[in-house]
Amino acid sequence: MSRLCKKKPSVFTDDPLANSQVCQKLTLLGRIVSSSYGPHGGLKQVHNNVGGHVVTTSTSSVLLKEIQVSEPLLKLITTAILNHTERFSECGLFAAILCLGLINNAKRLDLRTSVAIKVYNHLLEACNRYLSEDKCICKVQIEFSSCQLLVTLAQTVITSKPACMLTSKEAQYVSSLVVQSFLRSVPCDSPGKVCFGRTVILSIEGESVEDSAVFPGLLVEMPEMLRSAELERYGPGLYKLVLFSTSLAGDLSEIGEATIEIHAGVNPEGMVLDQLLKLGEQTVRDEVSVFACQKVIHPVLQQYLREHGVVVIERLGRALMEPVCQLTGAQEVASLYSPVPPEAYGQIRGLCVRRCGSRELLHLLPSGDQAVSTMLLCHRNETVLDELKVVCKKAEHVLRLTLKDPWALLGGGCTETLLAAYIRHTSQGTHPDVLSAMGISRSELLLGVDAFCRSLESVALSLRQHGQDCLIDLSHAHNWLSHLDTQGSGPVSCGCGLIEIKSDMNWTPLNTGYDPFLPAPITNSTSQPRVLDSFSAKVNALNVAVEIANLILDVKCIIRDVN
Amino acid sequence: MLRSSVIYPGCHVGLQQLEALAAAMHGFLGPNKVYKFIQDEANGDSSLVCSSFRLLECLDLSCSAGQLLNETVQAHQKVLQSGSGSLIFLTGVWSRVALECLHKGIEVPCIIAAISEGLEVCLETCRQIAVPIEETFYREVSQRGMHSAIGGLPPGHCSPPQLRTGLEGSTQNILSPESTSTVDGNTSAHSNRGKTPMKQRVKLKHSRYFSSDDNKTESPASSQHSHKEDSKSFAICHIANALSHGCEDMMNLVLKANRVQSRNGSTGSSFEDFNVDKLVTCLLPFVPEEYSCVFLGFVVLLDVEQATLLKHLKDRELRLALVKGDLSERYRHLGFNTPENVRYVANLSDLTGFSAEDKWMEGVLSALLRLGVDLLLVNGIVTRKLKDHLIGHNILAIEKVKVSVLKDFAMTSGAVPITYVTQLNERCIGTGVQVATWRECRHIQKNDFVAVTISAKSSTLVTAVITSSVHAKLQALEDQFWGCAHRLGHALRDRKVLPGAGVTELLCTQRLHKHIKSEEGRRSISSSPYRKTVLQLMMDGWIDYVSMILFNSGTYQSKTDAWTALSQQLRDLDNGLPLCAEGFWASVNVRGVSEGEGEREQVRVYDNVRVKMEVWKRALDIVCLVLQTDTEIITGVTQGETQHNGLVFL
Repeated sequence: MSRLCKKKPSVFTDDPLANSQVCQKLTLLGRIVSSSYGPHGGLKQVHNNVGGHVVTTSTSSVLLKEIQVSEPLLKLITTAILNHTERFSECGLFAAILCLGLINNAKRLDLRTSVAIKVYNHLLEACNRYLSEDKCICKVQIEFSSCQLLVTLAQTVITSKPACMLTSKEAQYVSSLVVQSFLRSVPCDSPGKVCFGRTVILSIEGESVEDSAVFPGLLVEMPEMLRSAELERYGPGLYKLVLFSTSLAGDLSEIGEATIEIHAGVNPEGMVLDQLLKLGEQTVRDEVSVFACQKVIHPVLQQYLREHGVVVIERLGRALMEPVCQLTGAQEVASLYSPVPPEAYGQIRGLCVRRCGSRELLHLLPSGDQAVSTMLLCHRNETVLDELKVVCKKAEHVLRLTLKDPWALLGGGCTETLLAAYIRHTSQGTHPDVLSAMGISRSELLLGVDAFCRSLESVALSLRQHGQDCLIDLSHAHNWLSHLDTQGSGPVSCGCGLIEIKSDMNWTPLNTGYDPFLPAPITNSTSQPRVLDSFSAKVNALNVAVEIANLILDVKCIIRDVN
Repeated sequence: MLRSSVIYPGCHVGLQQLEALAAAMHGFLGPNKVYKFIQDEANGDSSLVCSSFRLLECLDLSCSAGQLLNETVQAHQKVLQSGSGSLIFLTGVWSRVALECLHKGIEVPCIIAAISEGLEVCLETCRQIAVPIEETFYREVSQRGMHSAIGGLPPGHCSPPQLRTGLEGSTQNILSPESTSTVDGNTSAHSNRGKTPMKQRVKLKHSRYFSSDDNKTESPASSQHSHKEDSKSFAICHIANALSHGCEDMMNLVLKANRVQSRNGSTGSSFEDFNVDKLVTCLLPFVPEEYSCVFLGFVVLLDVEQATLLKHLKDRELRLALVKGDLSERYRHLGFNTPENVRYVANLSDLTGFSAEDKWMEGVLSALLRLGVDLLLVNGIVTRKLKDHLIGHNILAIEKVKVSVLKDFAMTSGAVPITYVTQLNERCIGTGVQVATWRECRHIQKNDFVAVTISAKSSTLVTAVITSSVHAKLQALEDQFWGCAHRLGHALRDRKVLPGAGVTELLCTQRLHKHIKSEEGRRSISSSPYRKTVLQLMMDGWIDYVSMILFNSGTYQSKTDAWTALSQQLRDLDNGLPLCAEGFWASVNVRGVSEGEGEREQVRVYDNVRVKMEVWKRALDIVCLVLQTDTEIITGVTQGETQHNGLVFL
């Protein structure tokens, strides 16, 4: 007998931003993201209340994926930011801090939401325009003739994540590895189809960071039954490889949910095994040297192949399938019931064993100049290794983005302060026509500009540590941090490291406000920026942040189905 | 007893949790380990543990810092298998350092920078003071030899018989300084040794390291060895002794295993031949501990039924098959999905009365008989029915054999491990394996069993049979055995050792002190007012560690006594006395002699280089990780759960 349950009515929340509980949650999220920002950000430990693995991180993509939020508005923000990091890898925290700052400042300054949205949109356009201009002084052109800026870019990503627990020397080493693997993934100008390479990241726990390295080709787990002595005959030369994506375990897993009837006396397993052995015979006949499979291979087939001198690699895993195809030119074979077509075979130049600590790995060498490489990352413990893996992937992605947009933005909070100073200055002279087109008064505009600029500055402010002061210089509008160790004495260099201290400089604390001025470009400076952010990622993050903030400011009510 | 700790809200909770956890394991530091009972209130289970690693494994860790510590210790144990006790202790010590720094208002990055700098100084000290094993132990051996006989001649002049005496004396070894001209030439220990050589000679008959029985069996063999090999095996005894860390019995077993390995190895020198991977343990309950021993080959316990096969199998070379999975009709290899929706349809006329299992068994038996297999080593289990049939056909099947053992037999007998018996062919069969009865054990209430050794030609696989009349102790003894084996293995691989018993840590303290002073001289003090504080706290941490060891080893009556004595000595050394390990050796060891604390205290203790440095790095890593954490986010909590009061919900 089924029981009927009365449905609960939906819950209606009017003007959620006026609700104290919602506000509290927004503030909390704001505190979490802004305290995670930058190289001195606090780490967050995320774990389940019943125990289990503890995730320690300060990376937005990991953190926001781990935490579950109950509030729909928060969900909106986290989803938008995760989408952003999925595409651009970097600047997730920047977007989150900015977005929450924009919402918070609009409320704090008591701006009408419609006014705030209009002003924010107007200023976002101004920012986008300015950033795309050539005279924009927050950006630096990436030149591929030298690696230095690329290394700086990678190093900024890596050092901004303290959970990697790297010393500055180690961070530099890892950055150079990232740049190396990026350069390897850019194909040389070979005729025919040009295809972007890839880097597979392999992590080994318990070894020191200095053991990390980049190898051309692929490293896979050493097959259990393979002895290194057997590999001696795989010196330089061309060897055939076959790659299966279907399970060769010899079971009937392909039938799925369907029910089948089998007559007693018929042995389905034996028949599948016969089929597998036929495949084995064919590959031996075709002089295949490496027999690889994404999933499990039946032990009898393995034994047959090994007895014929074939190297068997099973359980490659989904993630390695495409890299293997790209490396060898093989096509995945998805069925065991038809012979392997000759064009499906791939080629490698040889096999050898790599040792890393106690682990043995099988190295598949590329036959041509396929841009496939493996980055071996080592670190002492699992927690930091997990973070390092994520961060290196991000860093490489950031480098890849420079191929599309060969620019980088000044890091260390300088872009934010510069942009804020520029917006403050240009908004002074906004034409009355623009105001009337938006339908707002000048004072409303100035209030909106203040909210927007303070939000930008709040990102720069998140970089400071407890007990540190954030300053802005009144000529170039860069961000300066006072030293922690020495109380009283001023800063040494700005956040991005482009400007050195000069005697005629004036500073003011960042959060106190200043008279608008046009930031002056830096002339005849020989120093290179030490901290650089990804241009594409930051510009997109800026847009995402403003759009989401506007959307949330626009939400008038929430209707929730609680059944 | 577990000490209780109060966690103060407002301070860094994670660090306090680490400190509290470490405090619970203070008793495990040092050579005299005390057993702890862990009792589960919920179901009344209890277990006996004797190492921090096992204790941590048994605890129900709900806090995230504890979970992190557990993960770190597990990972460390997996790779190095030694040193988790100090890892946990140091985590506690440095958590306290960090907490105190926070309390003093020092910012997190400053703490991390200073403490990392301090660790670098300490690691550098380790690199400098690590002593090559050849040098140290050969010289000590030679010196010991010449001391008892001639005294005063430079090393290298002694003949084998004198060396022999030296070896025996080495178990009594004391504070022989590395060169006779060091400052502590007039310590009580030195004069003690000089005056009473005879007394020591008398004592060594009762030494448990070299029982008279052992000497008898060893002597003829060793007399044939060359001088160099002699000193090598002496040295390895010496190294082992120095690394036993209070587990002499188990270290002795490791040594015996090493001797068996080197006697049967190809090169014949014990230095290169010690292979921890080729060791197996076999636990034998209800037999007194003195009966622990080592055997060449693989020792297993057989029940009486299987033992009846021995008369057919002994004294001949057997044919062997290795099976990776279970021996059962239902077993399928890993990754094989048994389809759920398959129905078997049968005609009545097809029924012959045989089940699938009978058919399978028939196949297995005929395959085994066709190839003349005598012995099966199976990684998984063997079905009861098949076992009975196998016994009927004089085939011995041994279940639950470790993969490493299978691998060794595959290497030495030429057998190829298979998953299904249908895979068996002539190429998979190993040959030249022998089975011998070791001893029969009869108990009144328990099942009788027979212990047999299975060995392949040229195999260096050695089984250590660990016995104890107390069943619950076996696990701890096994852990100790592996600890000893790995310590020895690491020492031989590193080819270097560090002075143990806290001497290295004391030297680090001193280097830190020197470092602070030199920094003060070089820079203006205002450049980093906090660094000095952090480094000084770190020094205190080291003294805490050493005094804990000294207290636990019984050298001092209380931890405070130890602390006082140590800081006094550091002050003394600061006032012009030279900076060397010798001074500390005296402080650590002389007390032991004066209090008449047996032989153990007199042996110089050494530690592994790589393990120690790795432990320090890992401990600091976890402290820094927790120190930098400012928020703990718990997922999966439902609103209104009472136990999570004071939480903010997202």
